[in-house]
This record gives sequence, C-alpha cells and structure tokens, in this order.
Amino acid sequence: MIPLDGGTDFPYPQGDPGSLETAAGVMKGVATLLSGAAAKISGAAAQAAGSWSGPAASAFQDCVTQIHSGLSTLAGYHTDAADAITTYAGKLQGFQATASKAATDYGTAETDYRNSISTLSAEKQDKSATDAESRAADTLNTAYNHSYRLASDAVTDANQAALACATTISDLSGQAEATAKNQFLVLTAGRHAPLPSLLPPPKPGEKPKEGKGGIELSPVDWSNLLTTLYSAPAAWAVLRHDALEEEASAAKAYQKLVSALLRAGQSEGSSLPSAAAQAKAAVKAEESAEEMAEKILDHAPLSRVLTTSVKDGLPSKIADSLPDLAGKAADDLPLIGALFAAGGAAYDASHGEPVAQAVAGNAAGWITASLTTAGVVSLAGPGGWVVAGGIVLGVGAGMVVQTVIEHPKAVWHFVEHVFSSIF
Amino acid sequence: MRILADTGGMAGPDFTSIAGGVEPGSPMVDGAMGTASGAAGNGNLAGALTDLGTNLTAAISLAYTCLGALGAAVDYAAESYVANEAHISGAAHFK
Repeated sequence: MIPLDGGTDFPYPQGDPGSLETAAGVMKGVATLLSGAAAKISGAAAQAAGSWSGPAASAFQDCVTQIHSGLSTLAGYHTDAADAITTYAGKLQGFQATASKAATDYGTAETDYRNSISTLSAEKQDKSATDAESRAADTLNTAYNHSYRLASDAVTDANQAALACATTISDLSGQAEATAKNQFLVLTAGRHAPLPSLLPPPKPGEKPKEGKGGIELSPVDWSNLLTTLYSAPAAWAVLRHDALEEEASAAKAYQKLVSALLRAGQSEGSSLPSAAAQAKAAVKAEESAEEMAEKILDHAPLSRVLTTSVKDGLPSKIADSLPDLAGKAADDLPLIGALFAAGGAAYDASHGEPVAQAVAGNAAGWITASLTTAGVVSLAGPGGWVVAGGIVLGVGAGMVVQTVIEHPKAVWHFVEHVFSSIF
Repeated sequence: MRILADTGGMAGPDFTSIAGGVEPGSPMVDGAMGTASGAAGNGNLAGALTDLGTNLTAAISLAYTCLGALGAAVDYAAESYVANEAHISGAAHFK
C-alpha cells in the first residue's frame, strides 16, 4: 500500500482509491455498452417484425422483450456497483488522509520533543530543566495517543465504509445471479421459447435447426392431402366390395340349399315346408345384398378402378407369391391411392422437395388413411366417419413423417424431453 | 406461412453484433472487478467484488448467447420463408 502513515506503526486504512476509481469508470463504460445494446435490440427486433408474423414471430418478440429487459437490468447493476465503489473510494481517501495527518502531526510533535530535549541538555541541569523534560515527554505522549486514536478511528471508519460497500455489492451480486438465471438462462434452456442456439451453430450453407421446444410440423402438403382424400374412400370401397362379393356368394349358396330342401320336401312330402318357408324369407332378405353385389360386380370402369386393390392390380404370379402379411395389406390397400401417392411424390420431388421426404410423406398418408379405414370397416364402423377419420389420420401421418425426416434432431430432442418429463 | 413480407430471404438484423465490446471473454468486466478487488483493501469487499464479477460475467455471457440465438432465429425464419414461398407457389401451380 502507499506509505502515507508518516513512517510510524500507526494504524492505516488499506486500499487504493485511485485504482478503485479507475475500476468504477470501467464498469460505467460497460453499463453504457449494455444500455446501448438494449436500445439497439429494440430497433433490430422492429426490423424483423416488419417482415415476420405468426406464432414463431410472437415467441421471438417475447424473447426480445426479455433480453432487452435483462440487458437494461445488467446495465443498472454495473452503474450501481460503480457508484458504490466510487463512494467507498472517496471515503477511503478521506480516512487515509485523516490517518496520514495524525501520523504527520505525531511526527511533528516528536520533532518538537527532540529539539526541546536537545536544547535542555545543553543548558544547566537543574530541577527546572528536569521538569521541562518531563513536560515535553508528557506532551509527546499526549500527541502520540491523540494521533493513534485518530488513525485507529480512521481505520474503523474505513472498514465500516468497506462493509457498507460490500453489502451493496453482495446485494447486486445476488440480483445479477437471479437475472442471469431468470432472464437469460431460462431462454437458453428453452423453457420459455425456442432458441436455435441450443444446437451447435450451423456450418456455412447448412440450414439452422430448431431448439428443444421449437418443433413445427411441416405444412399440409397438397399432394399428400389429395392422396389421403382418395385413399380413404377407395379403401372403404375395396373392403365393401369384397364384403358384398362374399355376401352374394353366400346368398347364392344359401339359395341353392333352400331350393334343394324344397325339392326334397315336395318329393318326399315330409315336414320340411315350414323350414323351407323360413329359408325363403331369409333368402329374400339377402336379395338386396345380392343385388348390390351384382351391381358392383358389374361395375362401370370408374368404379372398377375405385374398388381395385393393389393386389388386384399386380400380375397374378407376383400377387400369389406375396407373403401372407404383405398379401393381406396389398389386398386392403386401394390401387387408386397408390397411384395418387406415387403421383404426389413425383410432383413434390419435381418441385424441390427432397425425394425421401416426398415419397415418405405421401406414402404415409396413403397407408395410414387406407389401413385406418380398412381397420374400422372390419369392426363394422359407420362408413362416413370411417372415411373422415382415415383422411384426418392420413394427413396427420404425412405431416409427422415429413417433420421427422426434415427435423430428426429436433424431434429426437422433443421425444427425449417428453420421456424425461414422464420418468 | 410464417414469413409474410416479400423479403425473399431477407438479411436479418445482426443481433450478435449488438453486444459488441461486452462479449464473453472481454477483459472489461473481469478487469474492472479484479482491479477493484485488488484495490479494496478489505477482505469482505474484495470477496463481494469477486462474486459480483463472476455473476455479471456469467449474465453477460448468457445475454450474448441469447442475442446470438435471436440472430439465428431470424436467419432460420428467413430461410423458412424461402422454403415456404416455394411450397406455396407449388401449391398454386398444382391447383
């Protein structure tokens, strides 16, 4: 420390006011930078808002508001800390001056004492000289005690000033920590809004990825929508056609049985007529189904296409060689949906969409819509709702598959987040 | 469609540069706190200044990260706009 204590062993307030003032000045400079950044961010956000709207833009503006507030708050902490340090530096300087003056005063008193003793020694040694020496010693002792007390009080006061400054600084430190956590860390942790910086910065030319909370489904694909719109009713028609065909076949067989029974009853005169009458009534009830089946069996070219399954469209050798599960699926999946899926994928691919994404999105819509429809039909569900449900699920499946392909890391983060929330 | 203006891949504002001078690693805060701590002459005050410096530096570092993220978000939105524009044009053509 700077030796301003007169070279004595008097207490002296430690510290360097000049360095403290310099540090406070630097902190005020940082405060100015942060305030400037807070002001600039509003302008930059307004520039972005002029050409960006929607939910993502709203989330972005919320982030901007929070960061702007955090920067302003940080600037305030720096200003408050600088003021506290400046105040302490001023007080420290005053207390150091007091301690120095006390030491200097004692040094003067000591000089006076030495001069006095020297003069008295040169004179005649009598009682008056001895008394004078004693008085000089008392004066010096009083001066020492006075200076020591002043210096000691200066150190005590300086310590109290330092303690007051430390209290202020500690409060600011706690507030800075809270600001760091509540206004910045929460954003980077993705708890309030998606921020792409959570992922590694994109390489040059690479598309930035979303943050953990930033998954957005790919938009509805028109070709995918058309694929599912045709796949669901086509699947229903395929299944319905198969069912009616079976009903017609069963009705014909039943009718033959009844005819045989009638012939047997007439020829042998047994008690079969009542059973035959019941069978006849049953046959009548089956006739409507038979008629519908006949209509479909004799369908027009358009309905023939509509009710053709993938298996029907395959060469018989290939269709017969399919494994059981694939054969069943091919039997339930409508050919027209497959054609639309292929056309939609080709269209999407030719208009800039990655081939894998185009194929997967349309295929997912076709398969989901078809199998959902087929599955509910097999449970005897109502036709209209079956088709509508198939379409909705088909569109959703297409969007999800496209999203997974387009943003695999973001989806994986989302799945991890969901599992960690549950378990 | 997330971007409405006809920017066609706008050059978004550079949020990262906003924090120029106070970016992580800048000696300004650390230097100021170190100087103040060294010049404090009091153990309590020196410790408090060190803690404050640590927390302010962390807060500024996080703020800098957030600003970078805002810039990345704008860039991403701009790229999404380009992709969406192509998609919407394709849909219109399809009709």
